[in-house]
Amino acid sequence: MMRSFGFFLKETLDGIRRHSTGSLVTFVQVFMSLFFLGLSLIIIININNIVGNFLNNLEMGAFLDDNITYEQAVDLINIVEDLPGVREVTYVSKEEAFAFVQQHTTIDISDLLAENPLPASLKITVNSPRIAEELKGSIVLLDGVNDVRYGEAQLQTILPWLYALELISFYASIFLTWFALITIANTIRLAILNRQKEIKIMQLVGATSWFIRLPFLIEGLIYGIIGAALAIGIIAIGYNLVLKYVTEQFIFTPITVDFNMMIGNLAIMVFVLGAFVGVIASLIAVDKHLSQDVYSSPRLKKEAVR
Amino acid sequence: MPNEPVVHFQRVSLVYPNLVRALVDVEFEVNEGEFVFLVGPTGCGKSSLLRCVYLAERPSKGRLRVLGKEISHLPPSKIPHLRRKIGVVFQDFQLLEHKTVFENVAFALQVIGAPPDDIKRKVPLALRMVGLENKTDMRPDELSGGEQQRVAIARAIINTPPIVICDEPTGNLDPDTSQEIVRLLTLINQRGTTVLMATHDSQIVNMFKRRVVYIENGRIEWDHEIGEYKPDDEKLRLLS
Repeated sequence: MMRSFGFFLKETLDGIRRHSTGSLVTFVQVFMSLFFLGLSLIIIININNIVGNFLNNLEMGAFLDDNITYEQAVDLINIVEDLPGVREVTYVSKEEAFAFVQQHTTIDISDLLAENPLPASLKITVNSPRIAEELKGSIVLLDGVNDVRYGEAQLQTILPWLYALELISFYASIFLTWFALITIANTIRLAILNRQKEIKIMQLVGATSWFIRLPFLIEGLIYGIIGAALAIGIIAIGYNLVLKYVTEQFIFTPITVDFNMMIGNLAIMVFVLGAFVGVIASLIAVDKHLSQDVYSSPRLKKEAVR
Repeated sequence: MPNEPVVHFQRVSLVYPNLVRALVDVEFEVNEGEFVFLVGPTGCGKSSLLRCVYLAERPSKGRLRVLGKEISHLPPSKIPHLRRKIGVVFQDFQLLEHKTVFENVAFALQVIGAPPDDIKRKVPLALRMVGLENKTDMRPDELSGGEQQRVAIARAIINTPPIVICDEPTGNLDPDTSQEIVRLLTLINQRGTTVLMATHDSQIVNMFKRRVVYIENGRIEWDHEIGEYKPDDEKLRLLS
């Protein structure tokens, strides 16, 4: 088997070298397809992340009665925490609310107001905006809760757009992956089409189908892996530069996905895709030739032959 | 069965997808060690008959036994093993241009997983047999047509197959070179290999005086032990 593997590898490398122009074109096309796929996925993942962060961290304010005791507030926190869809509940006292407002204004509001008009509240982080209205209905009925607000009007306007963006990203990633798959498969198929004569001779001298397939599968694998490596390398360098620039320029960075995790996941995906498509495309191309080997002529009807 | 024919067509018919009938009820036997010329006009079915022997075509009807085995229903996975016992030579040589003479012949052994020692030993023997021992490092485009055909013959016999099939092997060669090639094939035949050769070269057929099978419209019209082939007579007969 090792002896055969040596033969396969030699035949594969010979094939790539011999068809150097064609091989280069194949490499470049595989690289370009995977590069644009990777680039698009980075953008899509970031958009998804921003939208996801927004949707999954919706905050509600449950405003409490002024005469509520601390113990009652703790009980309320426990009840709200146990409601489905609630991720986190934080108590905001009257003083904290006043301090927060004061922080966001330049005039001293304590001079203007005789007493603190702001109520104590519970800051509730909700898992999904879909359940916000239902939660609001449950919380507002609790004793000691005066009102619940979460910017309903604004959310209702923006929510369909965010869902649409999520959906578009999802379908765009599927489409782009499919497009890359087809391009790579076609490129490799064309590269192998030129090798019809070799396949024919191998068949004539009695090589088994797998013996014929293997050098071409290795070739497809090499195209896929090297194309993927190049694509990931350039994307990683580019993404790192963009990330540095963005974090230097903006305090709030819209690119929220960790670099290592992003490139790591993308590398796995692009490598697996490159290798998989390389092998499958070669297999399809070689099998197209192999299937032309023995032509099974139609069985004759008795009357067809006199 | 000691006397079983190495190739035995039993009422074999072959129909192509366009419904052209390439072979019609062919009854035909070739015994071990025979040299048979298949002759007839272009498109008569010579090549189709040969292609059936190494299963490049599967008969549509009838039974075909090769080397003692019924092959018309041979599963695809077994076809490579059949082909290792049949050497094939074509009119257009079918050599790999990027490989040297040695590598082209060695290729036939490599793709069946032969050990390197076997390859080193067998290839020079085959090349000596065809008279190309001094051209092992040359590439096909550096050789004459006759020499290229010799490489193809060396590749066909490298596995010492019991049968060698030649489909118009002299079609691209001048008369002198054609005679050399057929002489080489008769030498291979004298060593016990059965040779089936399709040709329309009457000069060659008449010079070597072997069994001649005449095919026309997919049917075997005549089969003579030591036959003469006169295409002009056939043309006249067809015209009349």
